Parts: sequence; C-alpha cells; structure tokens
Amino acid sequence: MTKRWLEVARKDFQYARRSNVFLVLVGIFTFLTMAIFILPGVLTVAFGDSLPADATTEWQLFQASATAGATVIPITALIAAYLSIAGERQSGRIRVLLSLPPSRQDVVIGKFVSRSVLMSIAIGVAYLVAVVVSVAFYRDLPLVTLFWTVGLSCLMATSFVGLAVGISAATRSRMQALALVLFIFVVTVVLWTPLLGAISGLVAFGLDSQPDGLIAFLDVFPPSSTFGALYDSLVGALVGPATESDAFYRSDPVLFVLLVAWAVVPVALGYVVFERVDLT
Amino acid sequence: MAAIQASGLTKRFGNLYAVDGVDLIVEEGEVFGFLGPNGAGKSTTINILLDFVRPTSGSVSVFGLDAQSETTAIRERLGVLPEGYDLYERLTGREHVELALDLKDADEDPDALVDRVGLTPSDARRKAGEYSHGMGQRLALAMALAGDPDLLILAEPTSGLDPNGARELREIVREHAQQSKTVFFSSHILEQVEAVCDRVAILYQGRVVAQDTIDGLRKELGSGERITLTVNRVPEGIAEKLGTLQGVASVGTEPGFVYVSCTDPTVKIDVIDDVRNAGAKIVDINTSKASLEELFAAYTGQGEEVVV
Repeated sequence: MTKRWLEVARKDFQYARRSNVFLVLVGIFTFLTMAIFILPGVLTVAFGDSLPADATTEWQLFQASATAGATVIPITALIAAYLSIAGERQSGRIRVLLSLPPSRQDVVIGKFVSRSVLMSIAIGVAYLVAVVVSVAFYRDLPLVTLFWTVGLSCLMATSFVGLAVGISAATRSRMQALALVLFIFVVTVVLWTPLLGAISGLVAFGLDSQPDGLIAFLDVFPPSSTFGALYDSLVGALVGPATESDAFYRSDPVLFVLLVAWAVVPVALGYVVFERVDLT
Repeated sequence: MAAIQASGLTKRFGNLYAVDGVDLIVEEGEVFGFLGPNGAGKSTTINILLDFVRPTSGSVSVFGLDAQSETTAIRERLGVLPEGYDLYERLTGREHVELALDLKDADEDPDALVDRVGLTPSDARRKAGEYSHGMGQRLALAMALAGDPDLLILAEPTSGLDPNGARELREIVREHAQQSKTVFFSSHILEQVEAVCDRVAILYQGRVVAQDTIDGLRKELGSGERITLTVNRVPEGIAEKLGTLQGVASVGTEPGFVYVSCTDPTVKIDVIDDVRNAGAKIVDINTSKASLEELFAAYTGQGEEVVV
C-alpha cells in the first residue's frame, strides 16, 4: 500500500497541473530566465563586442536570476498554494477527500508535497533555458552553480509553499487565506529589509555601536533573505572570496536549517489548527 | 457488533444544541433510514460520524471503531455520499472514480462503477465541471460504492435526482443490502425511506423521537388505517358522530368524500354503518395503511413543513 499522503499528493498534482495557475507559473519563470540569460548576450553581440565568455559573466547571469527569483518565487509560491486547503474547504471538495480513507494529516502533507513539486517543476523548466543558453553561448555548463541555483530556489519555493499551506490549513475561507498570504509576502519580502534597516539605524544611533547579533540574524530571517544569504555564501564562493559570515547564526548549516524550518514549521502549525476544527 | 452505535451524542454550537443526546444503533446488514425535517440534526450527526465535526459529549463508533480516533480504519470500510460536497471540475468522471478507488486501495473496474450508477462511458470522459447536479450526484454515488464498502452512508442521496434516478438509487441500495451490507440513509423525503428501509429513526430538534421498524412505528402510534368513503352526499354532522366512536382517531370531510383514520381496524364496519344510517349512499370504499408521512407528522408535530 502506498502512503496515503502520497496518494493525496498524486491526485492533487494531477488536478493542479491542469490549472491555468501552473501554466502561468511556468510562463513567468521561463520568461524571466530567458530575459536574464539571453538578453545580455544578444545586446553584447548587437553592439559588435565580443562575448566575454568567462565563468564570472556566466555566474553573474545565474546570480541575477537568483535575485529575481528571490522576489518572484515567494509571491508565486504563495499564490500557487494558498487555496490548497481553504479553497477545498469552502467549496466542499474537502468532504469528498475526507470521506475517503486519508486523514486530515494526509491531506495537509499531500497538498504541501504536491504544490512544492509543482513549483519545483516550474523552476526546473525555466532553468532548462539557462542550461541551453550556457551551453550554446558559453560552451560550458557550470554544474555546481546550476545545482545550487536550482536547488536553493526550489527549497525557497518549498518554504513559501509551506507558509501558504499552513495558512490555508488554518483559515476557513479563500479571502482569509488570501489576506494572510499577501500580508506574509509584504512583511517578509517587501518590508522586512527596509524596516530592519530603520530599526537598526535607530538602535545604532541610540547605542552608538554596530548593529548587534540579533539584528544581523533578523536580517536573514525571512525565507527569501535566508535564500539570498545562503546563495551568496555557496555560489558566490565559487567565483569570488567566500562570503560566509563568521557568526554561527549566519553559517551555512544554520541558514539551511532555517530555510527547511520555514517549510516545515508553518505546515505543522497549520495542521494542528486544521486537526481541531469542525468542518461544517 | 453494531455497524453504527451512538451513545449520548451531543453537539452544541454556541447556545444551540444541534444534536442533543442521540442514542442510535444500526445493526449490520440492515437498511436504516435516518429521518427528520431540515435542521433536525441529521447532518450534524453524520458529520460527527465522519469526524468532520467533533462532539461536545458522547461518542459514536462504527464497527466498534471510535469515530474520532480511528478515522482511517473506519473510512476503509465506508462508502460515503456526503452532503454539501463539490467535485473537482477539471477531473473527468472516470478520474473521480479512480481517485476513490486509489485512495481506498481497491482494484475494481472504474467503468463498471460508472455504468452501475447510470452514467454513460461518454459521460465518464467528460470533466465534472460540465456535469448537471443529477449527474454529479450519480458520480458521487459511484465514488461511494468504490471498494464495495461494508457500510454505505448516503446523506440526502435523492437530492438532484429525477424520479428515474431515485428509483435506480433504491435498486442500488437494495442490491447492496442483499450482500448483507449496511446502508445508512438520511433523508427528509419520506417515501424514499419507506420504500427501502428496514428500520428508521426519526430525529427532531436534535433528539431521536422514535426508532423502530416502520410497521412497529405504525403499531406504536396506533394510526393503523385510513378509510376513504366516496359518498353521494356528506350527511350533516357525520364527522362529529363518527368522532365519538371508539377507535376512530380523526375524521375529515369534503364534498363527496369522508376520510377516517382509525387505530382499531374493526371499527371500519361501524363507520360504514353510521354513514349509511345517516342517509348517505356509499359509492366506493378505499382503505390504506397510514403513510410514513402521517407517522412523521405525528412524531414531530409539524408534518405540514415536511417536503414530500
């Protein structure tokens, strides 16, 4: 007998795959990687310069794609997953699923896995473009850079899917879930760094000293920032001096665990709420 | 072991007791009708049974398994046509049945199930988003039947079905019962229940007001038979006169007809004699057993609100 959550994930995947949301995701990501990987080469050649076909240029393209991903992936992952449970609950589809053997836990885990895989496939497809461009223009495939770029992007996507599924499990309507994921996006991706900058500025002004460890940690706390720091540290080290921080709380393993925790903890908390509610 | 056993089942929403101390026993192999007007607590009871809703107090078990803690083990033996469900509009009918079969770990032929509920192979290839309500209801029934469940729970199964569909549903219920499997059937449509159920429970304002066979309920209420006399004219004061007879429960008249409900079948002759002695000529006599509807009205005291 296959695991029931796996069966739920397979069915959810089969269903979500047919949604326009998935096609839009693949479209957005592919458009971005195409723009980032193809345009600079085309422009350089158009202006008659020879292509600087070195590893650094190529790395810069990957880094640019990761930077774009740090904004685009969070919002798309949240949108791709925020209805996974709240939507089914509001429509009554959850009754069909929960009348069958899967438990509420199977449903939460299955949805989380399915939507994470969906995001990862969209990201993977988009980076196929990068692979083609790398091989065609630069006659080289930087496997390690590619591995970390795609791997970390998928991990960040999974973190935001986790947040969205957790929220979806804990709310009773589409509107509530939407409001909460948008709030999360604005706080963690848009406002976090400026707010923290303002706060640390005030703290530094008041204390007349460098920002302390807590602020340095908070700086990388949201999943997109964790992703950025981890990316700089792992991929940046391939072409330049290592940027891994001396501080323990900003070391690679801690950042990695933090990113995984962002995926798992919200799902677990959402499940705890979902397990207790009356599904009327 | 009972298929379903509820004891002291209570669910309070705020100040409202949706279900108030329900005791219920459904034996294995019977077709059990769960009756009551809308809002009586039928849905809440079933929701507790399916662990959609947690009881405030009391408990319910299915095949001896606790409905709150052994949900997966229960649902492996259950087929459910839930109330207020929705289908996956982007999946085809066949894919829905496959979903149910896969999740139940059953290896039946999905096409056979589709056929059994009266959907055509071309219906099964269409996406459920294009289905009418009646087709959706048939599809949901096919999903409930997947895996040949020991207990079939059908919540308001005839809603959206045309008379033909309702008849086919009764066939399916009978077939299921013939394999000594259990069917639990909730409805506010009485004739559906009367036609297939071995026993019924009547729920009213969150409480079970009666639980018996339909014949048993008739006996207990004493509303044994109903006579309709077709007369050339209705004699003056005949209703009052018949009303005084021992064993007559109620009398009604309209031009050309006299209706009498009696608790004692032997009183029929006296009724006929009295009508003739009062000077009327009896053209025709019709007797019928009290319908479940009348029983229902007697138990809930609000028969007029019941949809038939």
